[in-house]
Amino acid sequence: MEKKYNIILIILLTLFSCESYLEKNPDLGLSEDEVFSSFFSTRGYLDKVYNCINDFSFWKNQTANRAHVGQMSDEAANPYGFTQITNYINKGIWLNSAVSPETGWSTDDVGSNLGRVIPNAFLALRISNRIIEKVPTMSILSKSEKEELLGQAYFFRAWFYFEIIRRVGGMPIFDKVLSTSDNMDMERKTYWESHLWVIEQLDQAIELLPHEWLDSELGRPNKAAAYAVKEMAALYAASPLMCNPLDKIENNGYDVEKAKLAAQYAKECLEYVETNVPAHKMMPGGANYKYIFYHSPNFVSDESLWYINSAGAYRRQGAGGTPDIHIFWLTERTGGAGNYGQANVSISQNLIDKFQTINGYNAILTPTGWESNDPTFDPINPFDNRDPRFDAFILYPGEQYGNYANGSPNYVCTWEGGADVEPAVPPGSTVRTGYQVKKWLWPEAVKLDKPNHNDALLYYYNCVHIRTTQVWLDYAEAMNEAYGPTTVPAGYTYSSVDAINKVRARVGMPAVKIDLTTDATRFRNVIRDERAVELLLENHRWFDIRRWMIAESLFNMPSPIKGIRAIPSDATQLKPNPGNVFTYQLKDVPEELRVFERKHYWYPIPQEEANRYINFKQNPGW
Amino acid sequence: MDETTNEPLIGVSVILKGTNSGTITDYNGKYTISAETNSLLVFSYIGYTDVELVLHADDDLYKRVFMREDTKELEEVVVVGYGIQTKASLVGSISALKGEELQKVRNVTTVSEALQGMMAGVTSVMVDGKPGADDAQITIRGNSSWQSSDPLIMVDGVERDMNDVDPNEIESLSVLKDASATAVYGVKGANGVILITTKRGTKEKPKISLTANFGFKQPLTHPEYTDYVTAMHLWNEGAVNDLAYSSLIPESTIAAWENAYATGNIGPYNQYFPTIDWYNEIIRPVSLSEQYNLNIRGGSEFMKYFTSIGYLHDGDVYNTQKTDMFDPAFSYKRFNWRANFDFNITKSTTLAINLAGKQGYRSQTGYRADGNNENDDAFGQERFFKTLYNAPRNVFPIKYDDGYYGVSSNAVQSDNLFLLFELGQRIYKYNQNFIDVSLKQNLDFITKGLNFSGKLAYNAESNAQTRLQRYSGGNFGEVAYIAYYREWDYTQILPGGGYALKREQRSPTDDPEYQGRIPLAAYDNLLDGGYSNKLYYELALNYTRSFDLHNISLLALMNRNENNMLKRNSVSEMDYEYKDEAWVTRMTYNWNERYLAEFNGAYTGSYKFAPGLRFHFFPSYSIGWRASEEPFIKNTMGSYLNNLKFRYSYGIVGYDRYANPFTYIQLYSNDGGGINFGKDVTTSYGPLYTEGSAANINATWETAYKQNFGIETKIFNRLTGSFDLYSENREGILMSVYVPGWFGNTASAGNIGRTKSRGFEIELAWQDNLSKNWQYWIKGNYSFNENRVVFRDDPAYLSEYLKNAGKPIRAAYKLQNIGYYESLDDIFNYTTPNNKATQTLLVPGDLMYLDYDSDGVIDMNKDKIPQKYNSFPRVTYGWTVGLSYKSIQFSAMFYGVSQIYKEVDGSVLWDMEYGNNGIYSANTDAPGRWNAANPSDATKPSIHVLSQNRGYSMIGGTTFSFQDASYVRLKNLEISYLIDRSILNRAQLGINNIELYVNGNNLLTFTKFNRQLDPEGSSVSVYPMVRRFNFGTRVTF
Repeated sequence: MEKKYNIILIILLTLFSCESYLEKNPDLGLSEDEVFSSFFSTRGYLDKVYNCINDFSFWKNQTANRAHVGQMSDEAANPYGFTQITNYINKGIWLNSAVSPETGWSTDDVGSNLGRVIPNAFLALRISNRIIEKVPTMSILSKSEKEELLGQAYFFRAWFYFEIIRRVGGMPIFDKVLSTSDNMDMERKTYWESHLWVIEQLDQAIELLPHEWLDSELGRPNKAAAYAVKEMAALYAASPLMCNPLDKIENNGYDVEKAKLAAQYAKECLEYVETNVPAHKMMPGGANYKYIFYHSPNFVSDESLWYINSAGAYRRQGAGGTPDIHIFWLTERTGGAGNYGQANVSISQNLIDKFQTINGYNAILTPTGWESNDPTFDPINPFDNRDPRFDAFILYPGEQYGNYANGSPNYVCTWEGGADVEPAVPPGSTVRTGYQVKKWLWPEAVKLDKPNHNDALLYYYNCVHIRTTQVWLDYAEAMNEAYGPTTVPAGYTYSSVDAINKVRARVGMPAVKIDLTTDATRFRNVIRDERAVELLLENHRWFDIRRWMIAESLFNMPSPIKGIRAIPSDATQLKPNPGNVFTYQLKDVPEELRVFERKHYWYPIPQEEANRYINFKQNPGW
Repeated sequence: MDETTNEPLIGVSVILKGTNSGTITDYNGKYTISAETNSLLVFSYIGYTDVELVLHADDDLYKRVFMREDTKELEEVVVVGYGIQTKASLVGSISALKGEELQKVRNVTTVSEALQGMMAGVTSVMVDGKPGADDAQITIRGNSSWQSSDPLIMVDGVERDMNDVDPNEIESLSVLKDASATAVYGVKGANGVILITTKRGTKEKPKISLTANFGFKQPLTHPEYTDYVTAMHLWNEGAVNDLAYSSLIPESTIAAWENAYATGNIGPYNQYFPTIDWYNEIIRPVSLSEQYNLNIRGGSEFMKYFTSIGYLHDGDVYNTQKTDMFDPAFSYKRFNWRANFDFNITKSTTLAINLAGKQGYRSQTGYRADGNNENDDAFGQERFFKTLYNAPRNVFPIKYDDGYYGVSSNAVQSDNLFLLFELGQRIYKYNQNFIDVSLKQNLDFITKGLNFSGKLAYNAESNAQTRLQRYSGGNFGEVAYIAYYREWDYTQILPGGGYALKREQRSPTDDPEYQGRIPLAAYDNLLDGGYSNKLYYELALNYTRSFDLHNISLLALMNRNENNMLKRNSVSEMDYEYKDEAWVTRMTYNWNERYLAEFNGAYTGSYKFAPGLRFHFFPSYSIGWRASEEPFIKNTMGSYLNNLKFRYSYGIVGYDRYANPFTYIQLYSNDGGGINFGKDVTTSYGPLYTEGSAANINATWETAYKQNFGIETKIFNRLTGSFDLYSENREGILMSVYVPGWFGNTASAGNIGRTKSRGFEIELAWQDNLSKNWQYWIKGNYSFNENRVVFRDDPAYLSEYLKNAGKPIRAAYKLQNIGYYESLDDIFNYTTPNNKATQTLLVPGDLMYLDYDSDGVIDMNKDKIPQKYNSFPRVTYGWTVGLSYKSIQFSAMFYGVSQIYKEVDGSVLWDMEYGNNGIYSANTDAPGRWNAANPSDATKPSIHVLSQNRGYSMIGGTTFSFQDASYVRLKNLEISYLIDRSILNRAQLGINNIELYVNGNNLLTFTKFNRQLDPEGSSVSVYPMVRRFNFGTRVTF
């Protein structure tokens, strides 16, 4: 009996340590101390920011789903009906569309190139802030390791903060890692105050970053990248939209003093490249011009200053899948089904009109037909003798480009009755404007009947945020606003006109006609058109038409996006033959909405945030 | 004879104890039996207490025996948390059922469905009819939290799934509702508890029982459409509305179809005028299900046993065809086994061992599923089942004359339902094994009434799948068979009859070399999270004793759970061990069963939270007063007032189930991936480290404060009733605390949510005899529950009507439909759609919505206003009526819910739903659409055919699409016949009795909801809900 008691007693006693029974050393993850215990793990924490960079050349970027940012501006049209850009952004419904690319604040997929740009930027700022807080206190790091980490962190602070303010306007200074107990209802700064913080970060970055990384680390920002972001940010800060206070949106033109600063920074950037990293100067034009956009064996072309290094990832989708260049750029004529069933980006006639003739004249398609002052312009062959960049960037109706697998030539079948437009393909697959994109598409990639072929992997292309040519264009714009088209102030070598002509000369275009360079206002349009052509689909036009505050006037009309109707003399021909002559008409693309009011110049902060915070003010009009 | 009425009783069994011989009383209550002196006669009759009579040598040959109606009901015991109590002394709010009552529902496949309408306060909702995945969702006393309302379910005292328990194995089922009953479950009990107790052996000779059920089932609802000519006319009307003139159907085509209808030249295989009623083609008129159970129950002084094996097969309503490679049918086969043993090891020691388990095979067709998770087929499942409602019916024949399948021009093979069954098969295999060992030691030698018990339970479960499929990952039904789309030119009649081919399209590819029939790929693997083992152990001390009129009982108990399982999305990596621990006590006191008091307490801990916040004490206090036992009441009203009890309880219970473990630790995770850099050679840098969600050191469970007031009564020995009134405040609901975008990380979870709920329940039962042979009974229950969010982190500057606080949990927000735009003036003068581009697409007859915030635009967020009801019923009720004549019994059970609204699926609400794909289809109510000729009697808006034009008027989320989903349904109807024992005895078959029955489930439904949908499931995207007919027999040896 006694024994029985004892057993029960012992059992009960051994069970008595409740808390420790539930103590489970959770083998779940790492603590903060573990992450910041070595250079490699600290860098592994920082490097997450590279996944946050807006990858606008990726077809699923920001879960945009086959929509390109150019489709928000007047650059391009997209027939694919299931994109947030079509259904929310271009309808002007920005406020509660958390999942929309560009404007949305949804944190779905945050931390990857599928995440929306603003939440990704907030995450990247948090990471950078933590690096800047932690690294100086880490005694195990050498000086060079600290500089390497801090240089990048300052750069990313600037870049991602700039990504936010150029979309939403001035922000509070996010210079620390927020904790849940912090006050989240911070006062917003003006754009200029915010901009100054960007410049501060970039000056730090320029100090710390190397001239060049080792080849194996090519893709991290270097000094040139910091210089380039600095001049780009400064040009933005001088632009009409950014010169507004927080509670107003008015167009009072550029701020001359700020434009001077922008010009100076651009000059410094170009001089820095010239002296220290001359390899990154503007690349030669001519036949090699196209290799700025796709290249081999190098992953990145030389004139790229700030970019995402695709580093050999061919931008395949799925294992063994077709390179996704096809998803963006080329129709596969499979009846509109699947990922390769349609070209998702077709260039608008609006942009085509900005490509001059080789002699420097405009050639415009009007409701009554082609108009050009160029005596050599031929309305029957309107795409001959154009700016060489037209040939490098654009596929026009009837153009022969690439082959079928059996060697027979492929034609761009976007004429009336052609295979890439209705009724041969359903509305969701039709090439709405008649034009397609060649800029990132080498002819070998075109083998319609064999999408999974190695020729589609001949070259690399990547997502370039700033290339040297842009710095020249930025310089030209800033100089024109600061000093006028032709003035060369002391300490400067090039006027605004010189800079533009340099960009034109590179591709074989003549200098700008003298009568256009007489005053800043006139020349402003030349600069803007030059920029639209050179930087086509490089994620600039949308921001440019906003900072110049011209979006309202571009879009405030029925059917702002235009296309071309190419009517063959013999509609039964599946491809153009010598006797098949096209006539051209301007056409509306009424499906391409661009609802844009004054309030749309700034993206709204989400209603949820606006409902919660009073100091963190909503943008005007939302 | 009946003791009180002096009426003779018919059919009383008179048996010589210890033998099989006996007889039954006749119509006059007479019986004759030959027996030896000193033998013992047992008289037994349903509803009466057995009478035993010893025959003495000098007895009169005519023996008159009086029997008394059984009033044992109050002495009946009810299973409560960690014990049993008598009904009389119960102070908690508990509803209990006998296993027989569950078996009465006969042919449903899950226990959860069988509970529908049986008990007050228990809401059971069926959402899917898929064989093997058709368990109902159970909620006890409504929702009190938006996080989870799942009750705790215990089978034989261990947490287990109840749906795969064979109802033949169930002895009783208790539902614990108030804090008094659930506080002993501490941190798990706040949403109520369901206790299932399985049958155990008896000390009698073996009783063998064999049950067999054969059932037929058919879908409850089906699609209804207009004929194609009407649909084409309506299409043209819609095309004109949308200015889509190029989409107009030529009159020649319509005329050709009209002629085809007139001449009967139509049909599912007619290649020119295909007319397919998919429901007829693809749904069997009847499909089969069957269920068998064999169990043996008996024992001796030393050992008692109950063993049972069961088999269930639930068949398919789809008319699938087995191929030589696979069988795409939906079906479920389940084997159950159980052996419960009790050993009296010594006079004071008993040992119980339960061995049980099941093996289930669920089979379904191979539509797309992502990943290895059986629940992960949402996308594929939705596409699959919806097809029955939206597949084109007049675009292509099932097969052309040349033997090729037909599909539509978009070449989506899912257009042709028969092709869906060519995709393959998936089989899910579920294996569960349970072992319970418990030892009970009577400690009377220490002090009388004390005992000790220990229990050890082990569950092992593994779930695997086999997939046989014809498609590779990727797109739904990508490639299986070659199919054609053919378009005819109805203006060109060919000489030999038929029409000229206008367009032909071969799919999946126009490559003539492609022959389809992608070879079958087979996969065999564990399901994600498909393995788990659970260990539970418990030690308890029990003390029960009466001192004079003072009755006391004490319970002290501790238990632990240790659960190991695969990670949710893994087939190889084990998750962190789940652990919890509880120390439980209960003290009850009553004086003469008249004044009752009870205290329950649980000191429970959960591994999920930080040290110091892991353990908490959950107490409950309850008192009861049995007024009917008071002398002054007993003396005056005792003759008819058999029972009257008042009870009240207050207590605190917790709930930690949905909380994520270890939120108290700030973690960083290793992303695994890296970043690629390089000039022309790729170098990868990694791994990357990511900060986890912000930690909250203070996170803990949610807490429920519950009160319950109840009255129980029994009058005239015929009417029993109970009434419960309750309220609950739920606090500390763990939810993610809002952080703005600029925080840059996901928020931490905080215990900040608060809700309140309240309700009442009534249960009433009446049972009486009309005459000697006629008996009838009526039972009913009614429950009402409503809830409100008190706090849910609403934004401070949000308009009041949009805040969660003050609204029901999961309140429905809808645009308020205020009629139709009657004219273009209305369209341009009234408020504009948020999307201004849409305004120009509106036509008269489109729905007009209320601009609630008067800002001039209809905003899909700000103009949606909270509705009174949501998709959870506030009222549920059920009633049963029964009638018996001798051994024939009839019963009917009705079940209903009300104060519930649901969204009607677009595919049955709108016409031309798939207009963009060129499918012309109109519901039978389409003639009631708004049109200029008849604007006043419109029952639905104008027709649109283009998706951009449909997007404003023909949408969900408005009060037009949100409809009353109340219903009353004849849940169960049964006629049974118990074959007279005297007849069986004469046949000398060794059979005790045979019961034959016919019954049906879901036979009638009364509802205002769209009749193409079942108001309960209310979805076209799930396997059809079914009506069942069943006949069966139970033979007892």
